[in-house]
Amino acid sequence: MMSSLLILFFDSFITAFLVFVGLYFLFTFFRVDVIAAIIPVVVIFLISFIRKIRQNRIKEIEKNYPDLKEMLRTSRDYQNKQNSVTLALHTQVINKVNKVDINSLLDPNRLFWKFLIISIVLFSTIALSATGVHFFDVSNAISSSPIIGRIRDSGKKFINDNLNFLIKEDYLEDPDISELGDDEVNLSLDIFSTELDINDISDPEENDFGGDYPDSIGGIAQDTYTDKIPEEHKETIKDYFEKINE
Amino acid sequence: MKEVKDSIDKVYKEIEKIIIGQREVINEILVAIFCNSNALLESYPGLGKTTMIKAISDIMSLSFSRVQSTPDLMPSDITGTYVLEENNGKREFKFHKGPIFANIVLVDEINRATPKTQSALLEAMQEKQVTLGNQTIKLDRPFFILATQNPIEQEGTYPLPEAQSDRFLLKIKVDYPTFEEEELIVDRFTEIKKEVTINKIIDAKTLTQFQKYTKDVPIAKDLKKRVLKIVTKTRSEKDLIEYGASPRASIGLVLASKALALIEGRNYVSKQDIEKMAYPVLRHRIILNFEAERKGMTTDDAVTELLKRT
Repeated sequence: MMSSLLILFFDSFITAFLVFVGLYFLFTFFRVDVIAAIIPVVVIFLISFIRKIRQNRIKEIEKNYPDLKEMLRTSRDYQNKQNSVTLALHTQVINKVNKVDINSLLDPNRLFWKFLIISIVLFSTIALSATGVHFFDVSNAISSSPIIGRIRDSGKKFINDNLNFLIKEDYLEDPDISELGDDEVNLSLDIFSTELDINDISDPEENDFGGDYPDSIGGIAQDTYTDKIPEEHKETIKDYFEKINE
Repeated sequence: MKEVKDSIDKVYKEIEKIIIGQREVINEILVAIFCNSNALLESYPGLGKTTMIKAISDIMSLSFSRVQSTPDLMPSDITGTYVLEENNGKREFKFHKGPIFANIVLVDEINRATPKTQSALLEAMQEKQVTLGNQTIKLDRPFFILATQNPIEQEGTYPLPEAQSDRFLLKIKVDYPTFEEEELIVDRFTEIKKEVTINKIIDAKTLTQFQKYTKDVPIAKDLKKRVLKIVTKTRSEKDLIEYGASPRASIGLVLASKALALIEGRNYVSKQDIEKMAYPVLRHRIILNFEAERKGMTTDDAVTELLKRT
């Protein structure tokens, strides 16, 4: 029983894998994430496996062993009758069934073609990926779609408005780039809770790491808003804080 | 099963010492014997019918008698009669058994006997007994009647009525031998050769056991249904058949298929057994309609058509 279930599982798995490989090949043309193929493949696997389990395996054996067909049916019809001839028949059937190869549940021709198609499609997928050929970039289209953009914005607004207590307001550690949009940004420093010592303001020290950069430092290409403050304004700001401190 | 197959193979080997070819005919005769029934043999003269059945009776250690049917044959010529005998000064009627008191009886050209004589065989065939006056005498077992018919000489004959022909399990057709077989026959019977002895292979007790095995051979339900479909179709296919076969044909076809399976060394009935036995079982039980006869169809052609339609 276990052996036959394993055989059926294997057969269904190969079928599902064939579908997955086919979808993967198709998705390469459209730059769709391969994760999207998982759900249909799982569904196909389950349907195939359940169907194979429900299938009458006796019929499969009869198809592959025609000489057993009539013997099996006759033996089944006379299973409760005991005479010398029927007993000899039951014994003969048991001996013949014991010789039936469990692999008769698999169609070797179909299996061969499945493996061949999988190999060809996989090879084609790899070759295609290397050339970068694609018809349409679905991922990009989805991410730049106005509908998706609006959904993303409203999601972030909801989080900012209602769930901001869950978010650390330290944008220096936030890897995401702040989208300023059209809103006015108000930056304020709380002098009583900040760790910054405004009396100890100096130009940043240049750290020379030589060639060994720590792992935590990485270069990210990003657009940031930089404001070039004129020299005379810097002095004004410095004076302002000195006056507050007095 | 092995014992039966070995015995049958030996029987064939012994028969081949006497009869050349005719394997199918021998098979069908054995089927009728194993079914404890009777067979009708239709053949032209000179095809070795008597020699064949005599050889079978010798191989099976069974007593054999032959009756040559003529228009003046009386029933008492077959069943036997009382003869007045004197014994120790006393006269008494003593029953002298007729040729029917044998294990295997060959009735040659049964269609030449009168209907009265033919009906005398009916009781023997069906009940395996003979009634004389108020006395019923059981026949020896196993009991088998092989009746022959000549298909060419129809003048002065009395065709078997349906009721009687229905009691024969099989109607076996004997054909001419092939060229090579006839050459061997000529060599065998025109040259002086040492006498061939037939070995006894099975006896009456073993044959009775084989007849029991025949009934024990299982047949699958769907095959049994197929038999019933074939026989019931003989009654419904009016475009071919005027009168179809009776339930006796269903019983006969199942039994004959079982016997054939046993003879071939199988312990189950296959579809091929049924299709093979359909011809000898049905050919004498169906009557073709005018349209089929006009087309030149034979009953065998009708059976072939029925098997296709089933």
